[in-house]
Amino acid sequence: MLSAMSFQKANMRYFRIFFLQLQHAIEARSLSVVWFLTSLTTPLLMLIFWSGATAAAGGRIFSWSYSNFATYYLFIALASSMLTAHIEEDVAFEDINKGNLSQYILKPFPYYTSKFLLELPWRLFQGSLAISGIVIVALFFKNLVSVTSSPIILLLAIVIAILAFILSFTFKMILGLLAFWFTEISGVMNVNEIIFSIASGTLIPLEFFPNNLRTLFEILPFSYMIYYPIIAFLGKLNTTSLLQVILMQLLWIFIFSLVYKFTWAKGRKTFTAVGL
Amino acid sequence: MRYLNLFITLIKISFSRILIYRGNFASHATSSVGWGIFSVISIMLLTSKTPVVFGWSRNELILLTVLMNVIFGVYRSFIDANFWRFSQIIHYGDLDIVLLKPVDSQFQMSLWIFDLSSLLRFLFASIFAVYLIIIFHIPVSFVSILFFFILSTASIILLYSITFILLTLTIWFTRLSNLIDLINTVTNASRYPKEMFEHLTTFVFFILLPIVIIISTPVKALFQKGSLSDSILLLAFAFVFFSISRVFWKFALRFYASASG
Repeated sequence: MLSAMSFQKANMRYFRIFFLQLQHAIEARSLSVVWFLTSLTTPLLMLIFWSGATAAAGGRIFSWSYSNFATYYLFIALASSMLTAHIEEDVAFEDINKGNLSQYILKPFPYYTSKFLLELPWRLFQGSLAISGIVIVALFFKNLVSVTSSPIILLLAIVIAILAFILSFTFKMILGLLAFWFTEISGVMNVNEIIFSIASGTLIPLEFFPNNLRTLFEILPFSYMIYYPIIAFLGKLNTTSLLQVILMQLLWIFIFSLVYKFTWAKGRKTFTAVGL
Repeated sequence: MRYLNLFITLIKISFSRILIYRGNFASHATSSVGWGIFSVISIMLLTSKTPVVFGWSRNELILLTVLMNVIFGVYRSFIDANFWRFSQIIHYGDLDIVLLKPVDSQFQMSLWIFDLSSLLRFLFASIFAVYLIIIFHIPVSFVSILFFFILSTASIILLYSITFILLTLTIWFTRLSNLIDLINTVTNASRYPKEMFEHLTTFVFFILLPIVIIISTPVKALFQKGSLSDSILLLAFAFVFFSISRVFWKFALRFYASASG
């Protein structure tokens, strides 16, 4: 009975942290709006580009029509806002470089959990802005946005989206923890951004790549953070393929969890801050 | 003359910083060159299935992107680094120190620190541009190269002015520390040809017009395909927007209330 009460107490604390951070995210909503507009701009530019490219190619490229591109890039904007974690700079620059990590070490919560509860409200708030935008577009341009109507596939797509966020978050935490050993990691972060833009399907759908590159991207974790959640919602995958995607996501989450544990354990030993 | 001496001194300080923090320089240089290469790869991927888009051939679009890196390399070296600390200076009240100095505040906010690692991007892009011009057999002349440099200078002034005007808004909206990210993403539209935006609604096109002519106008001048009207428009925009940035900054300073505001 005591352990059940402790479990309930711990859960209440986590909820409290989450709601406090959600309050903060709503209070700083102007920041969220700017971040959302930033994540919307590149997909919009891509859409304008593909409108001319598809027209020049006679209406379709690789069986993709303009409305296919429109749906894809609208969901890219949603995925960038909601599924892609942006915690690495906070971890590297604010916590490790500036020494704020000491306050997290002193708290009775795992560092991973604390940062997860700090990041989640921002993703939900910005994601809600993106979803509102997509709903508005869908109302005005009925043929432009089409998602799957199958309840089972929709449910599996939601599971894939949740796993995509966890995968992205864990990966970004590992990236941020590299600051334990490197005082300047912006170069690493920028290289990651470049690889991510190509391998996740953010720049162009993975179908447009040659087969050998596509196979490589299907092995790497990046496509499971953005590309597969999107095409799952678009209904381009059957149930078997969706289950395979979930399996790959779970595999990568397991691998990244091990890497995170190792990096955290080693990094903590090297960490120093004022007063420690 | 005084500001020129100050500018040269600041460049020397930036160069000394490179020698002291060599690892940082290597990291930033890798990022800068990496982004340049990525922009070229992305346009190659985008045009892999369509050889002509908006009246531009694939080769021309690739060269447009490479020349964008030439212009952006200079812009990022001398100006952009200052904008990343712009909102921080205002939000934390450090603008007080800027205003107390006997140096023009806009100069301090715009040309105080330099990211010389981006000059490598400019250098590699320039070499690659010359190589592409030769292998693509793009006809250029001394006059077209001269016009390219003149219009590129106007482009940098226009890009600087638009960014400065928008960042001045942080005097009223001090929390918008991420505004520079949005501005940089929007100004990325300049890497695509102007013709790409012409079929948008007139209202949207005219809003974007100052941005979309930044790169395509000097590049068309280099290809000897430029129009006089576009060139005059670019020069006019550069002058007008720079004047607005100056006037708007002076106006905004009246509302600055330091860190206690």
